[in-house]
Amino acid sequence: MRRVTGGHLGEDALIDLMDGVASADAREHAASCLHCRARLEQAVPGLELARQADVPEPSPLFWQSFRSQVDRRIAGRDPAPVWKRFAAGPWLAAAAAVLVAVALLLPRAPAPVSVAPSAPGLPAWSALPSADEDPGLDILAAVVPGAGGLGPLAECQGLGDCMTEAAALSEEETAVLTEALRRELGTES
Amino acid sequence: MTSDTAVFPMPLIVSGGTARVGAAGLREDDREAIQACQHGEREAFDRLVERYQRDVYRLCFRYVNNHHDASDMAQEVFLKAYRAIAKFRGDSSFSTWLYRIAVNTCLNFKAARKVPAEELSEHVADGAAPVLERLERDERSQRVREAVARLPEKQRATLILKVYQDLTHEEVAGILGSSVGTVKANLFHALANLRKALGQGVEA
Repeated sequence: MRRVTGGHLGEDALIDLMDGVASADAREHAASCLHCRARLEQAVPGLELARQADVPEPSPLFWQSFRSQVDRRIAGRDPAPVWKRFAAGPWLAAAAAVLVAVALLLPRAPAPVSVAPSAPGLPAWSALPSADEDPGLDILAAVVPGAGGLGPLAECQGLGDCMTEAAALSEEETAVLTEALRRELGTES
Repeated sequence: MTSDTAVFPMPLIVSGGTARVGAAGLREDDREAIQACQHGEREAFDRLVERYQRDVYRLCFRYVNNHHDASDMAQEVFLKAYRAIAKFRGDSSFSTWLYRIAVNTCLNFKAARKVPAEELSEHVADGAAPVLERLERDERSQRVREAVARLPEKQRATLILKVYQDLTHEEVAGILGSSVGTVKANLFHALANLRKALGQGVEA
C-alpha cells in the first residue's frame, strides 16, 4: 500500500478501496483514519453522481445515416465537418503572414508620381466681408450725425481726423480713442 | 463500452459464440473484419463501424455534451481509424485502439472551437417514464454532464473511459499513455471535483 505524507492513503489506494480490491492494511487504516474516511466520503458520492449522467439515445434512424456519412467521407464524397476545416485556420493565417512579409521585403521600383487634375481654385478666405456686404458700414453710417453716407469719412486725412469728423468728439476724447484704435490695429499714424 | 464489446480482461463470447477473443484481447470477428479491410475490402469496415458506432458516439458525447458535435467527431474517429487501419497490428483490442483515436480527436476538437448547447430535439423520448420524472432525470443528467465537461482534461478523459466506457485501469492507462497509479489519482480527483462542483444540488 502506498502512503502519502502523514501516513495517509494515496489516491490509488483510495480508489482500490472504492473498487473493493484494497489490501487489508489499507482497509484497516481507512477504518480508523478520519482524514482518509473524509476523502473517501468526498469521492464516493462523486461516482454516484457520475453514473446519473445518461447520454440521450439518438433516433434509431440516426445510425443508418451515420454509417452512410462515414462511408461517403471515406469515399471522399463529403467534406470534413466545419470544425475540422476551421482547425486549419491558424496554419492558413501563418502562411498568409509569411507571404505578406515576403512581399514587403522584396525590392520594389519607385511608384510613378501621379498628377491629379487641378481642382477649381478655392476663394481666398477673408475674415472681412466685402464692402457691399458689410452691415457694419451701414451701422457706422447711421451713427454719424448729419452724414448721408461714407463720403466725409472717405475724404478725411488720417484716423484721428476721421473720428473727429464722424463723431464730433472733443480733442481729448479723440486722442484717447485714436490711441486705443492704434493699439488695437497695431498701426502708427 | 457496452457489455457485448467488453473484451478485457476475461475472454468473452457474445451473439451465439461468434465473438471469440484472442490472446491480445482482439475479438475474432474484429480480426476478420480488420484483415479484410487491410486487404482493401471497404465493406468490412462498415461492419466495424456498425459494431462500435454507439460506443464511439457516446464517448464523444461525454466530451462535447451535444449530439451534433458528437456525431461529427464520431465520424472523424472512424475516418481516422480507416486511414490508419493498415498499421493496426492487433496488440490491443480494436476498441481500445479506437478509443485512443477518439480521445485524441476529442482533445483536438476542444482546441478548435467552443462547445455549443445541447440539442435535445433530436433525441428519442423515453415514452415509458412519466413526464415529470423524465424531465427531472434529464435535467439531472444534463447538470452532471456539464460538470464532467468542466473537469480538467486528464481527469475528464479518465472518468469517461473508466466510468462510462467501463474500461479497466490498465486499459485507460494504455489509452492515455500514463501509469495505472496516475489513472487512479486522476479518477479520484475527478470524482471529488464532481462532488464539489455539484454540491448538494444533485441528490447522489
